[in-house]
Amino acid sequence: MFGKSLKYELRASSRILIPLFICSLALSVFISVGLGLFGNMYFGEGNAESKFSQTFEVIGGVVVSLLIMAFAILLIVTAVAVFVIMVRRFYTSFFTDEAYLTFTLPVSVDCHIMTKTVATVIWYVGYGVVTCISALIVAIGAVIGIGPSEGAGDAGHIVGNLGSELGDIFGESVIFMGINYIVSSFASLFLIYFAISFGCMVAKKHRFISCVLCYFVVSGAVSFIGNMATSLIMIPITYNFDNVDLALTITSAVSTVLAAAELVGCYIGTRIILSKNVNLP
Amino acid sequence: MANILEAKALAKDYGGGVGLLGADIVLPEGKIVGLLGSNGSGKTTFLKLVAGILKPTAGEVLVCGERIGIDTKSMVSYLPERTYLNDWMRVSDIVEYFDDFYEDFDSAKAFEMLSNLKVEPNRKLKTLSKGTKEKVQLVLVMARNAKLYLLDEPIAGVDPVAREYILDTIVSNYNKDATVVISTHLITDVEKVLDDFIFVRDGKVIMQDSVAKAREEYGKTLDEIFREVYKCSEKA
Repeated sequence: MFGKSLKYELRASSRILIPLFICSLALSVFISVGLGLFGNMYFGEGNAESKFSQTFEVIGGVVVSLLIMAFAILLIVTAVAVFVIMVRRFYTSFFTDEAYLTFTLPVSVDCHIMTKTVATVIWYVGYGVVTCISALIVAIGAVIGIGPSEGAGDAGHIVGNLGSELGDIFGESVIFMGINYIVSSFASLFLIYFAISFGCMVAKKHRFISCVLCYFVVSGAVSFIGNMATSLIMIPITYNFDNVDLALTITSAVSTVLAAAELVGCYIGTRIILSKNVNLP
Repeated sequence: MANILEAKALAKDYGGGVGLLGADIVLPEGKIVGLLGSNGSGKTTFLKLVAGILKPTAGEVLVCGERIGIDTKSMVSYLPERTYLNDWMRVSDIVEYFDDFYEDFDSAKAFEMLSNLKVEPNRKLKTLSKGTKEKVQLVLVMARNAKLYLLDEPIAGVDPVAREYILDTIVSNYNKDATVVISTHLITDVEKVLDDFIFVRDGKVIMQDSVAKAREEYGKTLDEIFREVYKCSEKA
């Protein structure tokens, strides 16, 4: 049943997200073309010879800055849109009239929750792929417009050195930090699921406000517990450590345990509400 | 004759008001049963409890001897009062959806019923009128070879001609070994298709019998018996 549920979940969300990704790529092409044209105007050689050329250089500079800013905004907007759409899918599937179909399917609540989670992960992986392609498209435009310069070579060298130096400082703690990031991301998602479920359970009207309030209360409580743990456990342990790598490893490990506890708590809470206390309209 | 449904002291308290107060209901297989009562009497609550949308506050309900869960959901075909269809889907998509999730779904039968209704499978659900959407939903529910059909107010809000059509669709398409529960307050319209009836009032079952037996005993139509029983229970 999980495969079938996932198929329909992806189909339901794809009708908005696929066009969004296509728009994102199309805008990247537009930004790339803009960088190609105006970058050449700004960085091109011999442009500063006449007053007319100087004006062109200023315009080119402004347009290039705007295009780079537009690209950054595009990436942020797409990420937020993926998030909003997937959270909205959770709400509509379980707390609107659509729930009359959802809850009469021969599918377990665990399967329903896993479907939503896996679909969100898939769309974020899709977002990552689209972002990489978009960045490549924009980079091609930038290279055509600005041209390969010595500066680019220097930048590559600096990035390479930085990576190597960070590797020396952080060492194996990077792995723990990566695990912590993944667990924390899932915990944040399940916190939202729980806030929606609890908010809809306690309110028949003004459900959106109820869910938002619930989110702030629960996330506030989680942050408080996290800060207490940092103050009481992590700082005393890691305070006198000269080894940054070990200190970061311990900090990440404790954070991961806390995030895992948040994840499990929110999952169980969501499961109980969806199994026993759904307050359908 | 085996029992399809057994509800024992089934109760649901919503907090602000009681939905059902200790209902004891047993339904054998192969019957069309009318769940009759005025608005707010607990009919929808009972159906939601059996469909697994609500959890009872007390008591239990069994479908084919099983507690409500995934197994019973694959045996129960539920038509809610509300339209739950996804507007962005085409009619053929929602048929495919039901075919994927329910092993007992007969898609050929669904398409035949849609054709009789003159609903084009390629049409998007958002382009259909409310009445047509309700008919599509009825087709989806009746195209299953379920053990128990729960139909919540299937004829409310439609004209008398459509009522006839809907009742014909129900009677001619349900799995003959199954039991159909029709919840309604429009007793006159459904009386002719019912084998048994259950009168509910204020969350309580006040009478449960066979239609033929009650007619013979009272010498009245079911609608007249309903009015008389309601008056008596009101005085009590």
